[in-house]
Amino acid sequence: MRRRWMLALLVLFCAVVLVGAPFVGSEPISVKGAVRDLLAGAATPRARILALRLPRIVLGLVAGGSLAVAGAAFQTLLRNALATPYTLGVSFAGALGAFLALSVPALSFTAAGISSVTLLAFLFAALDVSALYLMARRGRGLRTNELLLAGVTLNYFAGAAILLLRFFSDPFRLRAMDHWMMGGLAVAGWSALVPLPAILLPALALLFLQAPTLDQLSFGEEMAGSRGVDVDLAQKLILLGASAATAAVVAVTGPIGFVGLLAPHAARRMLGVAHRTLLPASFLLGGGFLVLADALTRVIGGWTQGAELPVGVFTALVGAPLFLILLLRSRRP
Amino acid sequence: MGLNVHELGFAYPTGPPVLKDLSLEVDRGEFVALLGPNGSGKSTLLRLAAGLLRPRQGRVEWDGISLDRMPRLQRARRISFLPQQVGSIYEHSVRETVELGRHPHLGVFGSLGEEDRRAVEEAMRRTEVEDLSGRNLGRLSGGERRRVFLAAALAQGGELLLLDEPTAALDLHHQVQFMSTLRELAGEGRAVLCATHDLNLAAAFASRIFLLHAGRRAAEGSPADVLRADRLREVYGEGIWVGPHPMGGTIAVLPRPLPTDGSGGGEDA
Repeated sequence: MRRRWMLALLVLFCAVVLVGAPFVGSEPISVKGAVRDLLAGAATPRARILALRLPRIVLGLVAGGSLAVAGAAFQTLLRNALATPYTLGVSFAGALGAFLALSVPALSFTAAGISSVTLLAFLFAALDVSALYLMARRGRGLRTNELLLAGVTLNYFAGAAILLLRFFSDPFRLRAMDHWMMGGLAVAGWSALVPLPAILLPALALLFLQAPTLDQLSFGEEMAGSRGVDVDLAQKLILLGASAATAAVVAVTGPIGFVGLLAPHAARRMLGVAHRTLLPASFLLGGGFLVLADALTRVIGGWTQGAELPVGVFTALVGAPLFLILLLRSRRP
Repeated sequence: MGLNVHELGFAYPTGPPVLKDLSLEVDRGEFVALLGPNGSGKSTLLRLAAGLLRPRQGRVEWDGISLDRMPRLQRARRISFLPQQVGSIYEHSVRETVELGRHPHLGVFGSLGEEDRRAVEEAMRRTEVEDLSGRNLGRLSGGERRRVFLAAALAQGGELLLLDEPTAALDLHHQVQFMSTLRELAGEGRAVLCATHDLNLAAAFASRIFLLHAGRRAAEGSPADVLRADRLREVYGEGIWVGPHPMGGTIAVLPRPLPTDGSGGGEDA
């Protein structure tokens, strides 16, 4: 029954963060007053601040949650506990697309309300995964080892292409590129979130439905296959779902690091390894963590009076030591 | 009825033929040991019998139905396979591991019903892993882990049990214990096909031996028929001594000692 308590705790954590976060930031606002003004449609400063923070918080929950679920799926698919949503190069490929949109004037446009930065980032991330898929596919079945190595190689390739783009870009645009690369939730209004559900909902549903299959794959392909899992199909679906979710998030927020690695690991420690509970728990933990981290960056931004700290940098700075502590503690008998 | 492998031929893509014109039957109640040197095709034969690979030629049938034509889940409910390497990348508990053997019986969400729980209990009792129930799979000894995966294979159904060198990493006591369990399981009406390198274990426990050499059948029959010095030398080379077991009833195979004192290795039976 420990698991049930842990799950309840996790839901509580998420609820507290979600309810509290809108009122935390460089400009603290009164809870009652802001909500009253917003509901009444009064354009007071506190209502405007609240209206700005809400889409950001929803994006934080969805982005952090999706990255965490994708991370959990990739770790099992690649049979590597250190795999992240970015292991297969989705983040750098996405960055390459975003940088093209940011540096080539002809590629700077808005289509159907979506900026070309988001569109190209998603396109390149999708291209990256498609290329990997075609490379790792051999007859029947996916070679996960080759997938991993090819992914790391594509990461380097995209990284080099990014450096090349930067080299030829004027300094004014470099600033925008750096900002994108750090990953952040600072969206202006709800419009940036509009394309997300179309991709995230089916992708996450697909992964949740694969939960029993993911459990079987933890024991290796042969074991899974002998228990009636269509390993070939399952690996394709998991790769598709996890990549699509990651690409969609990266396209909107830029690469936010460590959530996708840390959240599934922590969730496994709290609730065990069965994907049926692990995937939802990862979503709650990753989403809650990212919203909390974003609220903290707003507060810190208020103290320093400077530009807001990008949340992607913050999650990596906080996440890395946290992860190391978890790792070292787990080695104790 | 039972497992029927008929004139089977197989090669991995871009590889040379692994199995050639191979026929083998394993009936319910039989414990057949699959012997043969490294690379003789034992693991490939087991994978084909488990339906994980498709034959190039010939066919593999269970109870007269070709595995090609059997839906995956239906096949998995009848045929359990224990690969050479078993283990999880995560910290599964023993009970979870056995429960996951029920996979082919469960619905989309993978929740266990009354019958599933009963099968899990029975499998754990049968392999004596009940006391390990809450333990972490990764912290078990090699022998315990093998028993847990055997339990999972039984929970799965396992009318046909296919095992790939299950005793390879076990000490003598656990080898004997594991093989006796397999023999009992066969006695209860399951068909057991077990690849092993241990000729003595095979001689002591198997009801029949199938000797594989370079993808072909080298010999088949009772331990006494198959484990003969001339046959084994053809397959395993010189350096083998075969004689009556000192305790009688079966055969013993030993490495020939190096001829240091000129007396040689002694006479074969």
